[in-house]
Formats: sequence, C-alpha cells, structure tokens
Amino acid sequence: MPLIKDGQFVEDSWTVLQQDDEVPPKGDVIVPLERYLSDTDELNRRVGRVGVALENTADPDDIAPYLNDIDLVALTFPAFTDGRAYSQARQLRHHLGFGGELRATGNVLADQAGFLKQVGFDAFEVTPNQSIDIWVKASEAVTLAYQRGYDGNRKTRDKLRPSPLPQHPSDCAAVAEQSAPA
Amino acid sequence: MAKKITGPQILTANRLSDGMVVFLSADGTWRASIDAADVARTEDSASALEARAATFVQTNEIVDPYLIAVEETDTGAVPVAFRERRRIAGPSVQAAFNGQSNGSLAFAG
Amino acid sequence: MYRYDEFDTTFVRQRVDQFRDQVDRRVSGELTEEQFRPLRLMNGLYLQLHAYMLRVAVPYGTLNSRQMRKLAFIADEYDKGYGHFTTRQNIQYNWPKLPDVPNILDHLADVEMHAIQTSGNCIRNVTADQWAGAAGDEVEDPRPYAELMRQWSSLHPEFSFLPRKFKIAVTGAASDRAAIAYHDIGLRLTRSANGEIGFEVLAGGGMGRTPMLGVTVRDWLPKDELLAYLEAIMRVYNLHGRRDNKYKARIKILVHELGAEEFTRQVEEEYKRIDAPRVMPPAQELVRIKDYFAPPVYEDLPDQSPELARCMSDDADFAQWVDRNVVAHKQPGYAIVNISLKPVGGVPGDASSGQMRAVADLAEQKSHDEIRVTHEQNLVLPHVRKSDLYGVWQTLKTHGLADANIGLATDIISCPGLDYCALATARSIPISQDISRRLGDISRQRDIGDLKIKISGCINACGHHHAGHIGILGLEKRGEEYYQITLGGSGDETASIGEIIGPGFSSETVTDAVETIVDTYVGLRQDGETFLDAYRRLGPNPFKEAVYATH
Repeated sequence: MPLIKDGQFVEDSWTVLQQDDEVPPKGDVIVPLERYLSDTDELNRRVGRVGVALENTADPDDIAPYLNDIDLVALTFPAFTDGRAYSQARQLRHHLGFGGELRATGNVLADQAGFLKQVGFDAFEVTPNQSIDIWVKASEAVTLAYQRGYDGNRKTRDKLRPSPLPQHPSDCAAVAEQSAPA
Repeated sequence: MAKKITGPQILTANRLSDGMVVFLSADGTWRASIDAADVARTEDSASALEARAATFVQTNEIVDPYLIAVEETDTGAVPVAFRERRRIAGPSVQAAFNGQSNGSLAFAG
Repeated sequence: MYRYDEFDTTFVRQRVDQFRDQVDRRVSGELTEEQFRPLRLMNGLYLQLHAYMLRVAVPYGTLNSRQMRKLAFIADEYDKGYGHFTTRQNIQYNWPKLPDVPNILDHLADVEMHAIQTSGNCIRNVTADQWAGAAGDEVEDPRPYAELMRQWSSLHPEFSFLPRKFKIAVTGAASDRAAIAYHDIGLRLTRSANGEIGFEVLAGGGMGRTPMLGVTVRDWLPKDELLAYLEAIMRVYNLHGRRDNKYKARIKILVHELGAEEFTRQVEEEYKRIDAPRVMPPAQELVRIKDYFAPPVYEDLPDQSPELARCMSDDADFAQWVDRNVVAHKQPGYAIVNISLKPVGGVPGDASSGQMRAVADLAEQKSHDEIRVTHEQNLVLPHVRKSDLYGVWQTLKTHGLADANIGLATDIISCPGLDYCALATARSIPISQDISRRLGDISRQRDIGDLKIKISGCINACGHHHAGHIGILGLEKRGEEYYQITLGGSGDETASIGEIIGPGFSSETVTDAVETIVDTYVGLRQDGETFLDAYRRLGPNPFKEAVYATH
C-alpha cells in the first residue's frame, strides 16, 4: 500500500508480518500484538526496528510497558466509519506518551486526513489510486479546530489570537431602543 | 447468476442530482413515472435490469438502484410493498400547502 | 445571543468549501455514493423517500430575526416555500437539490448558521431549555455551556465516527423542559451542598427500539471540568460501544450492558488520565461566550399591565391564548410567548416562509430580536412586554399562528413519518392531523387539559412516542399501517417510559382509540388531576378495558 508522510508519498521500509510468519534476520517489521507479546525479547533484540499492529479492539495499555522498544504502532480502520482507532491513537499519544510513528491502516480516506493528524497519526497507508493532491487538499480544507489539546496543525482559537470581548451596547440594546415607548 | 424473483419486477433508484424517485424504462432512460417502467418477468431479465442500472451508477446519474416487486394491473404496474406505493405517491400531506385553506394554514408561498 | 467572531466565521466557511468540494467530487464520480454518504450525512444531507432532505442546525434552538428571514429565503429559493421544525430544535427542508446544497450552506454562513453534524454518527446539535435566560426557575442560563459544547463538538477529531449518533441536552432549571433523561448525555445545572453551581451528569438515556432513562454518573461536576468529563464519557463510548448491530450501538446499550456502576467506573478511570485544564478553554473564553448571553436591556416595568388585563377581559379568545401560550418571565412586566405550530389539522412543526418572516418581524420589534425553537416543534418569543401581548397576538392571528393550544391535546409532536422519511414504516402526520381534528374543539381541549400526544412513524422514535402521555408508534404489517399505543410516558423531571397497552390499531381506528382513552380519563379524573397524574394513579387497566371493549 502506498504510504503518505508529511504530505508526500514515501518509501515504506517496514515489512508487515502475520502471527506465524517467519521473522527476517534484519529490517523493520510490524507484527501483530499477540506475536509481539509472545516473542518480545527476540523481537526487541534483533537488528531492525519493531512495530506493533493493534486491532481496534485492543487496549493500548497492553503495550504500555514496551513503548520504549517499539518504534511504530499501526492502528486500523476496518471501515472508515469505524472510529475506534481515533481514541486508541489519542490514548497512545497522550496517556502513554508514545513518540514513535503512528500509522493509520485499512480504509483510510483523504477526507479523514485532518482528524487523523489531530489525534496523532503521522503516517497513512492509503488505497493505490489515491492522488497526493487530493490528500493534501483534503487534509488542509479546515485549518481551525475548536478542540484544545489535540495535535496536528489546525489552530485553536487561543492559539490564533485572543478574541476581543464583544462591545456593548449590542444589537439587543439597539432593538430595545427602537421598541422603547415614545 | 440469475436473480431469484417472486413475480414481475421493475427497477427503481433515486436520481443523484435531486434525489427524485425514478424508474428504468424500456428505452433505457430513467423516468419519474412508473408507467413506462420496464417490467422484468423472468429471473434473467431482472438480472439484466440490474446490470443496466449498474452502468448508470458508474456514470453517476442514479444512486441506490434496486428491484421492486409489482403487480401488473389494467392500469399498469403497481408495487406490491406498501412502502414502495407510498414512495411513488409522494407525501400525502402535501395538499395542505396547495390551496387547502382551513384558516390556520395561511401559506403565503 | 452568540455572535460569530472571525474564528467561527472562517471555520464555517472552510466547512462549506470543504463540502462544496465533496459534492463536486461526488458529481464527477471521484467519490462513490458509499464514500459520499457518511460525508454528506455529517453535513445534514439525507437522501429521503422522494428527495434529498437538508437539516440545518439551530444551536440550542436559538435564532435571531435575520437568521429566521434567511431560513424563509432558503425555503422560497431552494425548496417549496416551507420548512419543518424538528424535535432537535432544528429545521429541515424536504426538497433541496444536491448541487444547490453548497449554495444554501453559503447563505446560512452569511447569518452564522450551518448544517454541521445535524446527522451522522457524531455529536448532534446540542439542545437546551427553550426558555433559557427567560424562565424564572433556572439556577443559571444553560446557553453559554450549550454554545461551548457546540464549539467543542464541531468537527471533533476523535468523536466524528462514533458507533451511532450522540445527543446532548442541557437545562439550567428544576423543571426539565429539555428531556435530559432521554439523551445520550443529559446535563442539569445544579447547586452543590455548599451552594456552588455545577452539573449533574446523566448518561445512557435514549428512545429508539429500546427506550431507557439516563443514569446519573456524576451528582455534581465543577463547571470548568465539563468538556474534559464529556471527553472521558465519549472516549469510553467510542472504544467500547457496540458496532456489530445498529440497534445496539447507542450509549444506552453500553451503559445497560456494563451496568451503571461499571460504566461510571470506566468513565472516572479515563477521566483521571485526562489533563482537564488543557481541554477546557481559558476562563476568558467562557467570559467571552457568556457576555453574548447577557440579559437584554429590559425596561423597568411594573409587573402588572393594565392594557393586558383590559384586553383579556374584552377578548375571550385572546384571554385563552394568554392562558395557554404565555408564561411567566423572570423580568417584571415581561412574558414568554409560545407560538404554536400545531394548527388543528395542520402538519406539526411546519411553517411557511411567510410565517417565518412574520415571526422574524415580531421578534425584531417585540422580543429583543430573539426566537427559540422548542423540541416540541413550536416557536418562542422569549422577551415580550406584557403590554405588547395583544398586538403580538393579533399579528400572529393574521398569519395562522395564534392557536391557543400549547400543551393541549392538539399540540402533538410528530415525526415526518412515511410521508417523507426513508426509514419510516408508517405515516405519522395524517394520524396527528386526524387526532387534532377530532379533539380540536378548543373548549374540549381546555377541559381535557395538559396532554402530550407524540407520534413516531417507526421504531427509531423521532416523534418521542415513548415520552408521550399518549404515545403512538406507526408500524406496517402485510401492506397495512397499524399503530401501537403507549400510555404514561413523560419527558420531564419525572421522566417515565410509556407502556404498550395491547394490540395495535388500524389507521381508521387509532383516532377512536385515542379519543376513548381521553374520554376514560375525563370520566375518572379527580379534581385538578392531569392525564398523566390520573394514569399514574389508575394504571393502564381502566384505559385498556375501555379501549378494547369498544374497538
């Protein structure tokens, strides 16, 4: 699958392994959570980085003790309407302080790009026919966010600039004046 | 693969541009009236209707096409399902806006 | 009321442009219908039975005259000259064309409105007490918090693809006019033992196939922790709410399956890990929002108005209208005017563009430029001088808006049903019209007294039938519509779920059954006892016996 990082297609150095696949002696691999938990030491010791793929029903706390050894976490969207991985991403970044690559996999659409960045994703596996222009355009369609404390480059109100307090008399006062008895 | 059908079928969809209910007619166009709808009486012809409809999905003229069972009467095809009969009839309350004046519905439009 | 600053304006404009691009991509075929559907739904655009339907957000039901005029303009320009006010205090248009929708949204943005999240599996329009800021019984005006939640929930990065739709209601009053127990999250501003104002937080209420009343997850939450606490509830729901079955996907099922205690524990556990001060905007931001909701500049008036008293004694129709539709305002000399959108035999909640303009003019001239939409599908002029009431009533009368039936038998909530809705199983509007005509005589309605009849055209319960004193649910069997009746539901502070009384009725007999139920109540009531009180005292049996003996 094509991989997007920083608004462009990049070479994907990672090999995705299934539960029973043989682990190559070197190179970067992404393994399922169960595999990582059963072969933790072996995976951490080998040459090459290790990433863990979490189902969207997994509890990120399960990999909390190992986050220093994990370079990448892949979260998945079985359908783009299934939004569990947004919360997993948020927990990984903010509760657990995960600083490695957070990769969105599965059904990842350009129209989700902004949200995905805000919850902390920084790598996106997209469908083969995706155009980078549409991706970039969609991810930058909205540059503002009301929610404080999320990531990404959308600006919150307090970061944009403090709003001046409304000036009185407001419209209401003007109306009151009009309808005041003569 | 042949489509399992129970009785004659016609093919309906909504037009992409305005959502209007349309029916696939024998001349291959989509019409708002059920009167010209192409009736499939065999499983093969029902499948053929679906295949034709699919091409219009590809060209973004219609959305959500599906077959509906009809009864063929002297006055034309009538859907079997209650919902489809209502869908074709339009809102039964629309009359309220078209001149029915009971003193309280003072519609200016 | 709230006014957009540059931030809000830019945000909404960007959202319009984004949607315009999505529509273009759909029309060009770049997006398939499957991809486009969730995107259009997140902007309130449905494909209904006969056409598209656009639902426009009226945040916590508050409008000014300019906005109302724009709604009228849209009705004329892009629809068939009318709109339908909904039980979420929104308005919906039944006939827009897809390529017009971005233009409609541009027009809405001109008056600081949008259609963001009026549909889809996201946080929907936050609703509030329609008398907020005007009612005498409130601890604090809930609107600043509703606005805060509107902002916080708009394009929420984490909570835009929830298992199912999510509805929040807030009230600041002891009398619950916002039906908070029937919401996914219900909030009530309340005082703690030491007098400090905070929120009671309910979760897990809802209607639909499995009606449930919300449970209290926090007795009292400090106000400045509101958004962080909501975030905790939403996260637990987003991660653990069921996604395998649409009918079990609402938060009420999660709360029910986990149990209130375990659900609360998980929320509190999550909450501990959230850095609350980082979620809530700085204090000055709440001050900024609150400032917009400062009371209008009232005149210093005596509470009694001699003109009002004189007009009431001279004009019995006016006196009846004042009795039912006008309620006390917290400011002496002012009143809250409720405008019925339930003419006898009419379509509940529908208003023509002419009616919208008439209400806009009245609001501008007589109600400090404010209008509210109620969840019971009526309108409100919240700040009217008592001495202006007679003139307001006369104007309303010329526009067919002076029905004196607020809270009476013909003030029926009805969803659009199978006249418009693609999900409906039966029609609901014609039934409401039938009942309305049957019980429409005003003396009879007044004699029957407070009665909430609510009709839904399918199990999704958009017509709130579970909360109806008399609830009606339209279903279909073998090509025929039939109607199930429930009794004893209530959406207020004594919330209860209506109970099914027995086999359903045909469209021809359901009105007879409702009339029999009403007559049974009239025959059995004790002095001053409302329908709901009588039902709670008597139980269903006398009503069942009467209905099934005769039908």
